[in-house]
Amino acid sequence: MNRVRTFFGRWWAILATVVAWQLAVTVFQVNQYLIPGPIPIVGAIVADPLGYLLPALLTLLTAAIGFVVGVALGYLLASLAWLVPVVGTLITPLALIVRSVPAVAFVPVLALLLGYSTTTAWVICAVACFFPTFVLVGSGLADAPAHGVDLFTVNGATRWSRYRHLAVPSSLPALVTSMRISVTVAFGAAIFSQFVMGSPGLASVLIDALARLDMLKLWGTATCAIVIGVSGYLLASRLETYAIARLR
Amino acid sequence: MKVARRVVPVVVAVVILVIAWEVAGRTRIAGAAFPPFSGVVATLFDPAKAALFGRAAGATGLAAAVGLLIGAASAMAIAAVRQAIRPTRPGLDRFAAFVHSLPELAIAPALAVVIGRENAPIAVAAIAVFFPAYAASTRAFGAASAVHQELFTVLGSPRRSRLLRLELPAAVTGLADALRLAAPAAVLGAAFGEWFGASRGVGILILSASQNFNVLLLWAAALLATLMTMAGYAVFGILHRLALRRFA
Repeated sequence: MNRVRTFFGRWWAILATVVAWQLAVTVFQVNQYLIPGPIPIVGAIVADPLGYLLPALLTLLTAAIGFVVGVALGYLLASLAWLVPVVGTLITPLALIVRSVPAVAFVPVLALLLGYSTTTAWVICAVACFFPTFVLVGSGLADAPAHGVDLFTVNGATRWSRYRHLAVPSSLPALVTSMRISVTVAFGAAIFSQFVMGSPGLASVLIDALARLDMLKLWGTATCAIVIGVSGYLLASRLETYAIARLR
Repeated sequence: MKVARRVVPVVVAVVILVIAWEVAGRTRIAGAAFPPFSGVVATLFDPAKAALFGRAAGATGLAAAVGLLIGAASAMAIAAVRQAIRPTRPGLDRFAAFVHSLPELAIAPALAVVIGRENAPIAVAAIAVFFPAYAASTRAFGAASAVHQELFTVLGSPRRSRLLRLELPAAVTGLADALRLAAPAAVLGAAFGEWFGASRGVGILILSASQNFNVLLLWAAALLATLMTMAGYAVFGILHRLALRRFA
């Protein structure tokens, strides 16, 4: 009973939205061709699972590769900036500026620069994940407790052992937070780059459905993208909550 | 002095970035798709293209502003409900996370079908704005001090007057901050929303330039989009500062 209550406590607003949508479609007799309700959309996905699953997997794969590379590089470079202060004072302001370039600007530019290919899509997703990770982990590394820093200084610890035993532990919460942010960013960037370059994936299915005015396909694909995006985010934020509770 | 220590590295970084961009562009080290900074700026401020860029920036700016207004107002209203009615909290938080992880580009075509091609930029901007505005608003409503909360409890104040007389005034600076954090997302969302049938805007300019391999126009439009997100952040940053001066 308690579990049911927790479940509805968390999901009532989303469930209410879906129910209201289906009700609005049925009661107000909207044009079902343009705006199908949730039930026919789910029906269409169940009737042709591969037609939705394959493009979704292509997009997901691009996002996953970019996510791993971008977050790893972000952590490595933030570490380098911490270990070699000269590098840090050079790169950190640069990263802050480049980070404020919106995706709508850098994705088409990168696609044009690197040429239209699958690798370019990976690079774009990696770049999109790199900057938030670099900035967040950078402040996490710098966030080491002051008394710990004093203790290490008094005992003449090397910069490396200070990094290893002081900065790295204090950067881990920032790392999981940046992973949570990067999950959404990577998936968005994957759809976006495939849209710009016209490569196969969820975006090309969307464009195709829009051109053929196949509204059920359009809504079904959007629903798939929503389910993937939301579950990725919820998983990552559960990991974040768990990790931060463990680390503190 | 403190301000100078924060501003100087950023200014230096901008100068380095621009010089490196110019050199790389002139030497064509990165290929023909990487024009020098001067060329991009000359294109952006070309009198013959002033009308083109002006119309695009006006359309996107207007859609972003209206979207920001709608998205931020609904986020603040929902955050106020969350503050007043405690049991709604987990469900509303989950709903906000849901809206946040919606892949904007995947739902934009469906939105264009539902609310019309010219309104889609506003809707996508409002969706993009919702989560940052919601997160900052919930923080803002929680900002009233515990001492004041206790005073209201002891004096037996009803929930409504607690919200109107304590939590709202204490939240003003935080709500201004919500607008500042959400402004870049509004520009980004508006540009995404333009891609499915809007007649003008910076997003349209970027997309058509990239499809026609018009390098200079693409870079200039991307620079314009970046400047617009920064301008949004700066304008609401000033508002935030004014609110701080009055309310904190």
